[in-house]
Amino acid sequence: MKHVLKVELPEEALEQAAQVAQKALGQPGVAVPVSRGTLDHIDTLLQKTLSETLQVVRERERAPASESLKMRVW
Amino acid sequence: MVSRYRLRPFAPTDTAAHLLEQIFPKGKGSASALAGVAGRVPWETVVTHLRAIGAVTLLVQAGVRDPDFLEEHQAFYAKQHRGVLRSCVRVHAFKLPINESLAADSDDGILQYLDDALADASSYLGFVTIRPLRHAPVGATILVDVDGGGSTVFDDFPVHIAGNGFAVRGTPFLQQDNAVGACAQASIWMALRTIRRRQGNAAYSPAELTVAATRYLATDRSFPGRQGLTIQQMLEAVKFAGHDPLHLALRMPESPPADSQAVLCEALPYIESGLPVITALMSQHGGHAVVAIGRSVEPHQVVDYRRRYRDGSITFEFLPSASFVSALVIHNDNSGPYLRLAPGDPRLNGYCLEQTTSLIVTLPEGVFTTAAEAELLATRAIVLVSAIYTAPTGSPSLPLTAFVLRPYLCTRHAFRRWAKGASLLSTEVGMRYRSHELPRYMWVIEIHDAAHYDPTDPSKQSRCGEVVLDASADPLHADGLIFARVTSQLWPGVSGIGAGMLFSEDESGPSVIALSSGAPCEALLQPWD
Repeated sequence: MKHVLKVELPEEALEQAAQVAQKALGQPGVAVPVSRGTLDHIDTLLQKTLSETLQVVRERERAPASESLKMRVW
Repeated sequence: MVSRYRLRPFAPTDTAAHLLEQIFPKGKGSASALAGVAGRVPWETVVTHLRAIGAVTLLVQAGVRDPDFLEEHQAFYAKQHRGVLRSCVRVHAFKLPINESLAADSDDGILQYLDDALADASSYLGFVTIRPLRHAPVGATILVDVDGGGSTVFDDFPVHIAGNGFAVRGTPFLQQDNAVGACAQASIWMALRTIRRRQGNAAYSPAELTVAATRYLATDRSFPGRQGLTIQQMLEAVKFAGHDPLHLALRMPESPPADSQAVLCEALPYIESGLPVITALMSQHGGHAVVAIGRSVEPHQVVDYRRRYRDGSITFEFLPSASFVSALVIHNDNSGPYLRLAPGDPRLNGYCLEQTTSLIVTLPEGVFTTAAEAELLATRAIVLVSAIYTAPTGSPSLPLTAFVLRPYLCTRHAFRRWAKGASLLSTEVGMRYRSHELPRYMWVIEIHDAAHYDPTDPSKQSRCGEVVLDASADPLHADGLIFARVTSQLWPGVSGIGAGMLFSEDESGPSVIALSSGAPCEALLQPWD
């Protein structure tokens, strides 16, 4: 299966993420806060905005709706 | 003599036609000499199913005032010049044989049999209501599924017979009478009757559904209702009954056949959630509707099918749990209960998944995120938690092993019960899952190690994490993420990352927790309980 993919984090983001993970590893079971900045960095990996991506889902689910609504079943 | 009841053995040699003749002799009900036998197929399937579930004794109860048929009678049959009986016959099925020493044709004997049957709860297999309509005899029917039959959309229904309280776990079935209603009304009736208790809405008869569907969207007279309904009218009827109908239009009716895996991927999350999926089909003979109430699962992928989301440098690929499904379990009002809708050739007679045009799901109130949206949000959550979890390696990555995503809508009670019972779930996760403030409905997307995933074996521990989303959140604003958990099985051979990680987001902000144990757990079944 070909889905071994690296997550190419920017240097700064990688450092922040590693720090959070190391801190958590050092105290298992304890919640370690993650800054919004770190999350935003990771989020930049996904270039499409959420609404763009959701639009694809929405179109898949609803595009032919107007025609389907007229279909008669008996 | 207890005149209402007759007890008889159900012999292997009993044919459907012979049984029906015994239950409703010619000359009773609407026994028109011209009545055809086309409508007998559901009855024949019911008789076959009775054999499959191990019925050996039938109790025939006469004079049943079935509320659904009374409505049908009032709306249509009572207006006919020729008299049509108002009462039905109900046939109850049991596993318990009739004891030879019992006087089965006497009051005492029948009551004794029922009392004996009550002692073993598994003895009662359900009932079939026989309407006095020779063209469409099968009325409201609830029978258990065969062992391992794959139905997931069911409920427990109490049944009272002669002072004894029995119960049947099954999915209500009804044959269209092609007068008060067609397949559209029968499908809606089956779907709504199944979830009536769970979602607390009213139970409408086929006659009421016909009236509701045509109240504002009339295209013809209401009765006879044999011309069926449009999808829009069906949505209106579901809405009228107090449910939120989600319409998933997969293709236009005249367009090329649907991809069977795409249909399964769309329908399965709802079926795994115990929600009936009304499935509109376009066959050679025109439009038809059935209700999907379960799935036939296999221990391996039925087809080599993956789903991919590509975004920027990320390609997220996984095996959908639907690729382990070989067919949907359906109630087809013109063929019978507990049948299969499998991939096939849409040009041939019969029904297949490729004929699907759209799905209607009767969602509970307040579920604003669809399964497809939840799946997409889950992939983003897995990217996020994977990046943090594997960051200490200096080369963060998505899971290195093939994994299966299994989405379903879950009540918080069912989720907490699973967390309580999952003995291998790490303590800190179990504690948070059980005590965290949770919404009533959540989308749970289980992450399974594909190498060990086997949906035919519920005890199999292949679950390496999950994403939990608030189903009442607006997916557009991505504020629905509650938990995302991953464990080290998804990164075999990678060291320095610990047993697993839980990402959590609530009013105090996002946080991560390193797990003390990453042992795989079992899947959650019946997430609606």
